[in-house]
Amino acid sequence: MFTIIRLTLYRVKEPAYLFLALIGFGLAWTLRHAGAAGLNVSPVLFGPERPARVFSSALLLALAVIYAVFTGAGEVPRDIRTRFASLLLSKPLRRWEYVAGRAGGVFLLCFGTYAAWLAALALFSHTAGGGPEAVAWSAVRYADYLLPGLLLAPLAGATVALTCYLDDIPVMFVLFIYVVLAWLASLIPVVTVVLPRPFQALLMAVYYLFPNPVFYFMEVTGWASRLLLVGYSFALGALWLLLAIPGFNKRDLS
Amino acid sequence: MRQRQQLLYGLAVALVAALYLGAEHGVRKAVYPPLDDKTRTRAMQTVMESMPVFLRSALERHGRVQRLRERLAAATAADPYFKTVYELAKELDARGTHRLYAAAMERYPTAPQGLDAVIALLGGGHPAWTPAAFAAYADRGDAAFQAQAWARGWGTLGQAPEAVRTGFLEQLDRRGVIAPGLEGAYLLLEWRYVKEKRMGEADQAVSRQAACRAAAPQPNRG
Repeated sequence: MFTIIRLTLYRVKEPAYLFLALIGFGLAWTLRHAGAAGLNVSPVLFGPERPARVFSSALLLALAVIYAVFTGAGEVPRDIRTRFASLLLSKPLRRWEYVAGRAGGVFLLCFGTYAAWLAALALFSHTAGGGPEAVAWSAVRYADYLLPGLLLAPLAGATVALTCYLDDIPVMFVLFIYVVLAWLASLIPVVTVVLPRPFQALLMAVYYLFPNPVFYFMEVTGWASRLLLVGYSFALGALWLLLAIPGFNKRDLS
Repeated sequence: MRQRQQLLYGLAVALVAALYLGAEHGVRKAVYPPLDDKTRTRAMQTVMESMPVFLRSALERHGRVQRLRERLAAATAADPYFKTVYELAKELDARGTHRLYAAAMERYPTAPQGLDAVIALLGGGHPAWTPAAFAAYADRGDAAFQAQAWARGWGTLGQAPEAVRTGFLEQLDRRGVIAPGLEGAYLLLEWRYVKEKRMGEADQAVSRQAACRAAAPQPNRG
Protein backbone atom coordinates (compact mmCIF):
# COMPACT_ATOMS: atom_id res chain seq x y z
CA MET A 1 0.00 0.00 0.00
CA PHE A 2 2.80 2.41 0.85
CA THR A 3 4.43 1.66 -2.50
CA ILE A 4 1.21 2.72 -4.23
CA ILE A 5 1.12 5.87 -2.11
CA ARG A 6 4.70 6.57 -3.15
CA LEU A 7 3.85 5.92 -6.79
CA THR A 8 0.99 8.40 -6.57
CA LEU A 9 3.24 10.97 -4.93
CA TYR A 10 5.58 10.78 -7.96
CA ARG A 11 3.00 12.98 -9.67
CA VAL A 12 4.92 15.92 -8.23
CA LYS A 13 7.44 15.44 -11.03
CA GLU A 14 4.83 15.93 -13.74
CA PRO A 15 4.76 19.28 -15.57
CA ALA A 16 0.99 19.59 -14.97
CA TYR A 17 1.52 19.35 -11.23
CA LEU A 18 4.41 21.81 -11.28
CA PHE A 19 2.29 24.25 -13.28
CA LEU A 20 -0.55 23.97 -10.78
CA ALA A 21 1.84 24.34 -7.85
CA LEU A 22 3.17 27.54 -9.43
CA ILE A 23 -0.37 28.85 -9.81
CA GLY A 24 -0.94 28.16 -6.12
CA PHE A 25 2.26 29.95 -5.09
CA GLY A 26 1.35 32.83 -7.39
CA LEU A 27 -2.04 33.03 -5.72
CA ALA A 28 -0.39 33.02 -2.29
CA TRP A 29 1.87 35.88 -3.45
CA THR A 30 -1.13 37.83 -4.73
CA LEU A 31 -2.91 37.37 -1.42
CA ARG A 32 0.12 38.33 0.70
CA HIS A 33 -1.27 41.76 1.67
CA ALA A 34 -4.61 40.23 2.59
CA GLY A 35 -2.70 38.01 5.00
CA ALA A 36 -4.20 35.02 6.66
CA ALA A 37 -7.54 36.67 7.23
CA GLY A 38 -7.94 37.72 3.64
CA LEU A 39 -11.44 38.91 3.00
CA ASN A 40 -13.50 38.55 6.15
CA VAL A 41 -16.60 36.67 5.05
CA SER A 42 -18.18 36.33 8.47
CA PRO A 43 -20.33 39.50 8.34
CA VAL A 44 -21.83 38.30 5.06
CA LEU A 45 -22.24 34.63 5.89
CA PHE A 46 -22.67 34.23 9.61
CA GLY A 47 -22.90 37.69 11.16
CA PRO A 48 -20.20 39.53 13.09
CA GLU A 49 -20.61 37.38 16.18
CA ARG A 50 -19.56 34.19 14.40
CA PRO A 51 -16.08 34.09 12.90
CA ALA A 52 -15.93 32.39 9.51
CA ARG A 53 -12.94 30.60 8.02
CA VAL A 54 -10.42 32.72 6.20
CA PHE A 55 -10.84 33.54 2.57
CA SER A 56 -7.21 33.39 1.45
CA SER A 57 -6.76 29.82 2.56
CA ALA A 58 -10.21 28.97 1.21
CA LEU A 59 -9.05 30.04 -2.26
CA LEU A 60 -5.97 27.85 -1.97
CA LEU A 61 -8.13 25.01 -0.70
CA ALA A 62 -10.48 25.40 -3.65
CA LEU A 63 -7.49 24.97 -5.95
CA ALA A 64 -6.40 21.86 -4.02
CA VAL A 65 -9.93 20.45 -4.22
CA ILE A 66 -9.99 20.88 -7.99
CA TYR A 67 -6.63 19.17 -8.24
CA ALA A 68 -7.81 16.33 -5.94
CA VAL A 69 -10.86 15.69 -8.11
CA PHE A 70 -8.86 15.68 -11.35
CA THR A 71 -6.05 13.50 -9.99
CA GLY A 72 -8.31 11.17 -8.01
CA ALA A 73 -10.70 10.65 -10.90
CA GLY A 74 -7.86 9.82 -13.28
CA GLU A 75 -5.61 7.47 -11.30
CA VAL A 76 -7.50 4.15 -11.24
CA PRO A 77 -9.15 4.40 -14.70
CA ARG A 78 -5.78 5.24 -16.28
CA ASP A 79 -4.08 2.34 -14.50
CA ILE A 80 -6.78 0.02 -15.83
CA ARG A 81 -6.58 1.43 -19.36
CA THR A 82 -2.79 1.13 -19.54
CA ARG A 83 -2.85 -2.31 -17.81
CA PHE A 84 -0.62 -0.82 -15.12
CA ALA A 85 -3.16 -1.97 -12.50
CA SER A 86 -2.83 -5.60 -13.73
CA LEU A 87 0.93 -5.27 -13.58
CA LEU A 88 0.84 -3.92 -10.04
CA LEU A 89 -1.64 -6.54 -8.87
CA SER A 90 0.53 -9.34 -10.28
CA LYS A 91 2.88 -8.49 -7.41
CA PRO A 92 2.09 -9.50 -3.82
CA LEU A 93 -0.38 -6.68 -3.44
CA ARG A 94 -4.04 -7.03 -2.56
CA ARG A 95 -6.68 -5.10 -4.41
CA TRP A 96 -7.88 -3.19 -1.35
CA GLU A 97 -4.29 -2.14 -0.68
CA TYR A 98 -4.06 -0.79 -4.22
CA VAL A 99 -7.30 1.23 -3.86
CA ALA A 100 -6.39 2.49 -0.40
CA GLY A 101 -2.90 3.37 -1.62
CA ARG A 102 -4.25 5.40 -4.51
CA ALA A 103 -6.70 7.26 -2.24
CA GLY A 104 -4.04 7.84 0.40
CA GLY A 105 -1.61 9.06 -2.24
CA VAL A 106 -4.12 11.49 -3.70
CA PHE A 107 -4.94 12.82 -0.24
CA LEU A 108 -1.29 13.24 0.78
CA LEU A 109 -0.39 14.83 -2.53
CA CYS A 110 -3.20 17.39 -2.39
CA PHE A 111 -3.01 18.02 1.35
CA GLY A 112 0.75 18.46 1.14
CA THR A 113 0.35 20.88 -1.74
CA TYR A 114 -2.26 22.84 0.19
CA ALA A 115 0.03 22.89 3.27
CA ALA A 116 2.91 24.19 1.13
CA TRP A 117 0.74 26.92 -0.40
CA LEU A 118 -0.48 27.91 3.04
CA ALA A 119 3.09 28.04 4.34
CA ALA A 120 4.01 30.21 1.36
CA LEU A 121 1.06 32.49 2.13
CA ALA A 122 2.23 32.78 5.74
CA LEU A 123 5.78 33.54 4.62
CA PHE A 124 4.80 36.02 1.91
CA SER A 125 2.34 37.87 4.14
CA HIS A 126 4.87 37.96 6.99
CA THR A 127 7.62 39.40 4.79
CA ALA A 128 5.17 41.82 3.17
CA GLY A 129 4.29 43.09 6.66
CA GLY A 130 0.60 43.00 5.82
CA GLY A 131 -2.25 43.49 8.23
CA PRO A 132 -2.33 42.41 11.87
CA GLU A 133 -3.30 38.89 10.80
CA ALA A 134 -0.17 38.58 8.71
CA VAL A 135 2.23 39.09 11.63
CA ALA A 136 0.21 36.93 13.97
CA TRP A 137 1.11 33.70 12.20
CA SER A 138 1.97 30.97 14.65
CA ALA A 139 2.08 27.17 14.66
CA VAL A 140 -1.40 26.96 16.16
CA ARG A 141 -2.82 29.46 13.71
CA TYR A 142 -1.18 27.63 10.85
CA ALA A 143 -2.65 24.34 12.09
CA ASP A 144 -6.05 25.99 12.31
CA TYR A 145 -5.87 27.14 8.72
CA LEU A 146 -4.65 23.69 7.75
CA LEU A 147 -7.69 22.07 9.30
CA PRO A 148 -10.07 22.79 6.39
CA GLY A 149 -7.60 20.82 4.25
CA LEU A 150 -8.94 17.69 5.90
CA LEU A 151 -11.87 18.08 3.56
CA LEU A 152 -9.56 16.49 1.03
CA ALA A 153 -9.67 13.16 2.91
CA PRO A 154 -13.34 12.30 2.28
CA LEU A 155 -13.03 13.89 -1.14
CA ALA A 156 -10.06 11.70 -2.13
CA GLY A 157 -11.82 8.65 -0.67
CA ALA A 158 -15.05 9.36 -2.55
CA THR A 159 -13.23 10.13 -5.82
CA VAL A 160 -11.11 6.99 -5.83
CA ALA A 161 -14.06 4.90 -4.61
CA LEU A 162 -16.21 6.10 -7.49
CA THR A 163 -13.47 5.29 -10.00
CA CYS A 164 -13.76 1.65 -8.90
CA TYR A 165 -17.17 1.65 -10.59
CA LEU A 166 -17.09 4.46 -13.14
CA ASP A 167 -14.73 6.07 -15.65
CA ASP A 168 -13.00 9.41 -14.97
CA ILE A 169 -15.41 11.88 -16.64
CA PRO A 170 -18.60 10.38 -15.10
CA VAL A 171 -16.81 10.42 -11.75
CA MET A 172 -16.20 14.16 -12.06
CA PHE A 173 -19.89 14.76 -12.88
CA VAL A 174 -21.07 12.60 -9.99
CA LEU A 175 -18.65 14.34 -7.62
CA PHE A 176 -19.82 17.76 -8.68
CA ILE A 177 -23.43 16.81 -7.90
CA TYR A 178 -22.33 15.13 -4.68
CA VAL A 179 -20.49 18.23 -3.46
CA VAL A 180 -23.44 20.51 -4.26
CA LEU A 181 -25.82 18.15 -2.45
CA ALA A 182 -23.40 17.97 0.48
CA TRP A 183 -23.69 21.74 0.95
CA LEU A 184 -27.46 21.48 0.89
CA ALA A 185 -27.39 18.51 3.28
CA SER A 186 -25.32 20.54 5.74
CA LEU A 187 -28.48 22.57 6.45
CA ILE A 188 -30.37 19.46 7.55
CA PRO A 189 -29.31 19.46 11.25
CA VAL A 190 -30.47 23.07 11.46
CA VAL A 191 -33.76 22.52 9.66
CA THR A 192 -34.81 19.26 11.36
CA VAL A 193 -35.33 20.90 14.74
CA VAL A 194 -38.57 22.47 13.63
CA LEU A 195 -39.87 19.34 11.88
CA PRO A 196 -41.93 16.46 13.32
CA ARG A 197 -39.91 13.46 14.56
CA PRO A 198 -40.47 11.02 11.62
CA PHE A 199 -39.23 13.67 9.18
CA GLN A 200 -36.25 14.36 11.43
CA ALA A 201 -35.14 10.72 11.27
CA LEU A 202 -35.63 10.53 7.52
CA LEU A 203 -33.72 13.73 6.85
CA MET A 204 -30.91 12.76 9.20
CA ALA A 205 -30.55 9.46 7.33
CA VAL A 206 -30.08 11.49 4.13
CA TYR A 207 -27.69 13.81 5.96
CA TYR A 208 -25.32 10.97 6.91
CA LEU A 209 -24.84 10.09 3.24
CA PHE A 210 -22.89 13.30 2.67
CA PRO A 211 -19.84 14.89 4.25
CA ASN A 212 -20.70 18.10 6.07
CA PRO A 213 -18.60 20.88 4.46
CA VAL A 214 -19.74 23.37 7.12
CA PHE A 215 -17.52 21.56 9.67
CA TYR A 216 -14.45 22.67 7.77
CA PHE A 217 -15.39 26.31 7.44
CA MET A 218 -16.49 27.07 10.98
CA GLU A 219 -14.35 27.86 13.97
CA VAL A 220 -13.48 24.59 15.71
CA THR A 221 -12.16 25.34 19.17
CA GLY A 222 -10.48 22.91 21.52
CA TRP A 223 -8.14 20.06 20.71
CA ALA A 224 -10.83 17.43 21.30
CA SER A 225 -13.02 18.95 18.61
CA ARG A 226 -10.07 19.25 16.26
CA LEU A 227 -9.21 15.59 16.81
CA LEU A 228 -12.84 14.65 16.25
CA LEU A 229 -12.75 16.53 12.96
CA VAL A 230 -9.64 14.60 11.96
CA GLY A 231 -11.35 11.33 12.91
CA TYR A 232 -14.51 12.33 11.08
CA SER A 233 -12.64 13.16 7.88
CA PHE A 234 -10.61 9.95 7.77
CA ALA A 235 -13.54 7.77 8.85
CA LEU A 236 -15.68 9.14 6.04
CA GLY A 237 -12.87 8.66 3.51
CA ALA A 238 -12.32 5.11 4.75
CA LEU A 239 -16.03 4.36 4.63
CA TRP A 240 -16.14 5.37 0.99
CA LEU A 241 -13.19 3.12 0.22
CA LEU A 242 -14.70 0.21 2.14
CA LEU A 243 -17.86 0.53 0.07
CA ALA A 244 -15.80 0.59 -3.13
CA ILE A 245 -13.55 -2.38 -2.42
CA PRO A 246 -16.15 -5.14 -3.17
CA GLY A 247 -16.78 -3.51 -6.55
CA PHE A 248 -13.10 -3.32 -7.36
CA ASN A 249 -12.55 -6.91 -6.23
CA LYS A 250 -15.10 -8.09 -8.78
CA ARG A 251 -13.87 -5.82 -11.55
CA ASP A 252 -12.25 -7.36 -14.61
CA LEU A 253 -8.96 -5.53 -15.11
CA SER A 254 -7.92 -7.26 -18.32
CA MET B 1 -11.38 -18.38 4.42
CA ARG B 2 -13.89 -16.49 2.35
CA GLN B 3 -16.29 -16.33 5.28
CA ARG B 4 -13.52 -15.01 7.51
CA GLN B 5 -12.74 -12.30 4.99
CA GLN B 6 -16.39 -11.30 4.79
CA LEU B 7 -16.58 -11.18 8.56
CA LEU B 8 -13.48 -9.01 8.71
CA TYR B 9 -14.89 -6.74 6.04
CA GLY B 10 -18.19 -6.43 7.93
CA LEU B 11 -16.34 -5.65 11.13
CA ALA B 12 -14.21 -3.02 9.43
CA VAL B 13 -17.30 -1.34 7.94
CA ALA B 14 -19.07 -1.38 11.31
CA LEU B 15 -16.02 0.01 13.10
CA VAL B 16 -15.43 2.79 10.60
CA ALA B 17 -19.15 3.63 10.48
CA ALA B 18 -19.23 3.84 14.29
CA LEU B 19 -16.19 6.10 14.24
CA TYR B 20 -17.81 8.23 11.56
CA LEU B 21 -21.11 8.58 13.41
CA GLY B 22 -19.41 9.25 16.75
CA ALA B 23 -17.01 11.83 15.36
CA GLU B 24 -19.76 13.47 13.32
CA HIS B 25 -21.93 13.80 16.41
CA GLY B 26 -19.04 15.32 18.37
CA VAL B 27 -18.07 17.81 15.69
CA ARG B 28 -21.69 18.75 15.08
CA LYS B 29 -22.11 19.50 18.78
CA ALA B 30 -19.02 21.72 18.66
CA VAL B 31 -19.80 23.53 15.43
CA TYR B 32 -23.58 23.88 15.32
CA PRO B 33 -25.43 25.75 18.07
CA PRO B 34 -27.34 23.63 20.62
CA LEU B 35 -30.40 22.46 18.76
CA ASP B 36 -31.89 20.00 21.23
CA ASP B 37 -33.74 22.51 23.38
CA LYS B 38 -37.01 21.56 24.92
CA THR B 39 -39.21 24.30 23.55
CA ARG B 40 -39.79 24.96 19.89
CA THR B 41 -39.48 28.72 20.27
CA ARG B 42 -36.00 28.45 21.71
CA ALA B 43 -35.07 25.89 19.08
CA MET B 44 -36.32 28.14 16.32
CA GLN B 45 -34.27 30.99 17.76
CA THR B 46 -31.12 28.89 17.77
CA VAL B 47 -31.90 27.76 14.23
CA MET B 48 -32.16 31.37 13.14
CA GLU B 49 -28.94 32.30 14.92
CA SER B 50 -27.04 29.54 13.19
CA MET B 51 -28.12 30.60 9.73
CA PRO B 52 -26.14 32.75 7.33
CA VAL B 53 -27.17 36.40 7.60
CA PHE B 54 -28.74 36.63 4.15
CA LEU B 55 -30.86 33.53 4.84
CA ARG B 56 -31.72 34.72 8.32
CA SER B 57 -32.89 38.14 7.14
CA ALA B 58 -35.00 36.51 4.41
CA LEU B 59 -36.62 34.21 6.95
CA GLU B 60 -37.16 37.03 9.44
CA ARG B 61 -38.82 39.07 6.71
CA HIS B 62 -40.99 36.08 5.86
CA GLY B 63 -41.99 35.82 9.54
CA ARG B 64 -42.79 39.52 9.71
CA VAL B 65 -44.94 39.31 6.57
CA GLN B 66 -46.81 36.30 7.97
CA ARG B 67 -47.50 38.08 11.26
CA LEU B 68 -48.70 41.20 9.47
CA ARG B 69 -50.96 39.16 7.18
CA GLU B 70 -52.48 37.47 10.21
CA ARG B 71 -53.04 40.85 11.85
CA LEU B 72 -54.59 42.10 8.62
CA ALA B 73 -57.00 39.18 8.50
CA ALA B 74 -57.98 39.82 12.13
CA ALA B 75 -58.53 43.60 11.67
CA THR B 76 -62.21 44.58 11.73
CA ALA B 77 -62.00 48.37 11.48
CA ALA B 78 -60.52 50.56 8.77
CA ASP B 79 -58.05 52.27 11.09
CA PRO B 80 -56.02 49.24 12.27
CA TYR B 81 -56.54 47.62 8.90
CA PHE B 82 -54.84 50.40 6.93
CA LYS B 83 -52.15 50.80 9.57
CA THR B 84 -51.24 47.18 9.00
CA VAL B 85 -51.57 47.54 5.24
CA TYR B 86 -48.96 50.30 5.15
CA GLU B 87 -46.67 48.38 7.48
CA LEU B 88 -46.98 45.30 5.31
CA ALA B 89 -46.44 47.31 2.13
CA LYS B 90 -42.93 48.19 3.35
CA GLU B 91 -42.04 44.48 3.30
CA LEU B 92 -43.42 43.73 -0.16
CA ASP B 93 -42.17 44.37 -3.66
CA ALA B 94 -43.96 46.73 -6.07
CA ARG B 95 -46.30 44.08 -7.47
CA GLY B 96 -47.17 42.73 -4.02
CA THR B 97 -47.84 46.24 -2.75
CA HIS B 98 -50.08 46.97 -5.71
CA ARG B 99 -52.08 43.79 -5.08
CA LEU B 100 -52.30 44.54 -1.35
CA TYR B 101 -53.56 48.08 -1.93
CA ALA B 102 -56.09 46.88 -4.49
CA ALA B 103 -57.47 44.34 -2.01
CA ALA B 104 -57.56 46.95 0.76
CA MET B 105 -59.47 49.44 -1.37
CA GLU B 106 -61.88 46.74 -2.45
CA ARG B 107 -62.64 46.10 1.22
CA TYR B 108 -62.85 49.77 2.27
CA PRO B 109 -63.44 51.72 -0.98
CA THR B 110 -64.34 55.01 0.70
CA ALA B 111 -62.09 54.98 3.78
CA PRO B 112 -60.01 58.19 3.99
CA GLN B 113 -57.18 56.13 5.57
CA GLY B 114 -56.70 54.53 2.16
CA LEU B 115 -55.54 57.77 0.54
CA ASP B 116 -51.93 56.59 0.07
CA ALA B 117 -53.14 53.29 -1.32
CA VAL B 118 -55.45 55.05 -3.78
CA ILE B 119 -52.64 57.35 -4.94
CA ALA B 120 -50.34 54.35 -5.41
CA LEU B 121 -53.01 52.49 -7.38
CA LEU B 122 -53.64 55.56 -9.53
CA GLY B 123 -49.92 55.93 -10.24
CA GLY B 124 -49.60 52.23 -10.92
CA GLY B 125 -52.34 52.37 -13.55
CA HIS B 126 -54.86 50.14 -11.76
CA PRO B 127 -57.92 49.81 -14.05
CA ALA B 128 -60.41 50.54 -11.23
CA TRP B 129 -58.53 53.60 -10.02
CA THR B 130 -58.72 56.09 -12.85
CA PRO B 131 -58.31 59.84 -12.23
CA ALA B 132 -62.12 60.08 -12.26
CA ALA B 133 -62.39 57.40 -9.56
CA PHE B 134 -59.71 59.21 -7.55
CA ALA B 135 -61.64 62.46 -7.85
CA ALA B 136 -64.85 60.74 -6.73
CA TYR B 137 -62.96 59.26 -3.77
CA ALA B 138 -61.52 62.66 -2.80
CA ASP B 139 -64.92 64.33 -3.18
CA ARG B 140 -66.29 62.21 -0.35
CA GLY B 141 -64.06 63.95 2.18
CA ASP B 142 -64.23 67.49 3.57
CA ALA B 143 -62.32 70.45 2.09
CA ALA B 144 -59.19 69.77 4.13
CA PHE B 145 -59.13 66.14 3.04
CA GLN B 146 -59.65 67.15 -0.58
CA ALA B 147 -56.78 69.61 -0.43
CA GLN B 148 -54.55 66.99 1.11
CA ALA B 149 -55.62 64.29 -1.36
CA TRP B 150 -55.00 66.39 -4.46
CA ALA B 151 -51.72 67.81 -3.21
CA ARG B 152 -50.36 64.41 -2.22
CA GLY B 153 -51.72 62.86 -5.37
CA TRP B 154 -49.94 65.42 -7.52
CA GLY B 155 -46.77 65.10 -5.48
CA THR B 156 -46.50 61.36 -6.09
CA LEU B 157 -47.64 61.20 -9.70
CA GLY B 158 -44.30 62.36 -11.10
CA GLN B 159 -43.50 58.92 -12.53
CA ALA B 160 -47.05 58.06 -13.53
CA PRO B 161 -48.00 57.49 -17.20
CA GLU B 162 -48.82 60.58 -19.22
CA ALA B 163 -52.48 59.55 -19.61
CA VAL B 164 -52.90 59.35 -15.83
CA ARG B 165 -51.25 62.74 -15.30
CA THR B 166 -53.41 64.35 -17.97
CA GLY B 167 -56.57 62.81 -16.53
CA PHE B 168 -55.55 63.94 -13.05
CA LEU B 169 -55.02 67.52 -14.24
CA GLU B 170 -58.40 67.56 -16.00
CA GLN B 171 -60.17 66.42 -12.84
CA LEU B 172 -58.23 68.94 -10.77
CA ASP B 173 -59.09 71.75 -13.17
CA ARG B 174 -62.76 70.86 -13.00
CA ARG B 175 -62.74 71.06 -9.21
CA GLY B 176 -60.35 73.97 -8.80
CA VAL B 177 -58.97 72.70 -5.52
CA ILE B 178 -56.60 75.13 -3.85
CA ALA B 179 -53.83 73.61 -1.78
CA PRO B 180 -50.14 74.19 -1.23
CA GLY B 181 -48.14 71.98 -3.56
CA LEU B 182 -50.55 72.26 -6.49
CA GLU B 183 -48.80 75.28 -8.07
CA GLY B 184 -46.92 73.04 -10.50
CA ALA B 185 -50.14 71.35 -11.59
CA TYR B 186 -51.77 74.68 -12.37
CA LEU B 187 -48.63 75.87 -14.11
CA LEU B 188 -48.84 72.88 -16.44
CA LEU B 189 -52.51 73.63 -17.05
CA GLU B 190 -51.66 77.26 -17.81
CA TRP B 191 -49.07 76.20 -20.41
CA ARG B 192 -51.51 73.81 -21.99
CA TYR B 193 -54.25 76.45 -22.27
CA VAL B 194 -51.86 79.06 -23.64
CA LYS B 195 -50.75 76.55 -26.27
CA GLU B 196 -54.37 75.91 -27.18
CA LYS B 197 -54.99 79.68 -27.12
CA ARG B 198 -57.66 79.32 -24.43
CA MET B 199 -56.64 82.46 -22.60
CA GLY B 200 -59.60 82.57 -20.20
CA GLU B 201 -58.76 79.18 -18.74
CA ALA B 202 -55.06 80.10 -18.73
CA ASP B 203 -55.79 83.20 -16.64
CA GLN B 204 -57.85 81.09 -14.26
CA ALA B 205 -54.92 78.68 -13.89
CA VAL B 206 -52.61 81.62 -13.13
CA SER B 207 -54.92 82.89 -10.42
CA ARG B 208 -55.16 79.41 -8.91
CA GLN B 209 -51.38 79.19 -8.85
CA ALA B 210 -51.28 82.41 -6.88
CA ALA B 211 -53.99 81.13 -4.55
CA CYS B 212 -52.02 77.92 -3.93
CA ARG B 213 -48.89 79.93 -3.18
CA ALA B 214 -50.85 82.12 -0.80
CA ALA B 215 -52.31 79.06 0.93
CA ALA B 216 -48.85 77.74 1.66
CA PRO B 217 -47.76 78.35 5.27
CA GLN B 218 -45.55 81.43 5.41
CA PRO B 219 -42.12 81.01 6.97
CA ASN B 220 -41.93 82.54 10.42
CA ARG B 221 -39.70 85.62 10.07
CA GLY B 222 -40.16 86.78 13.62
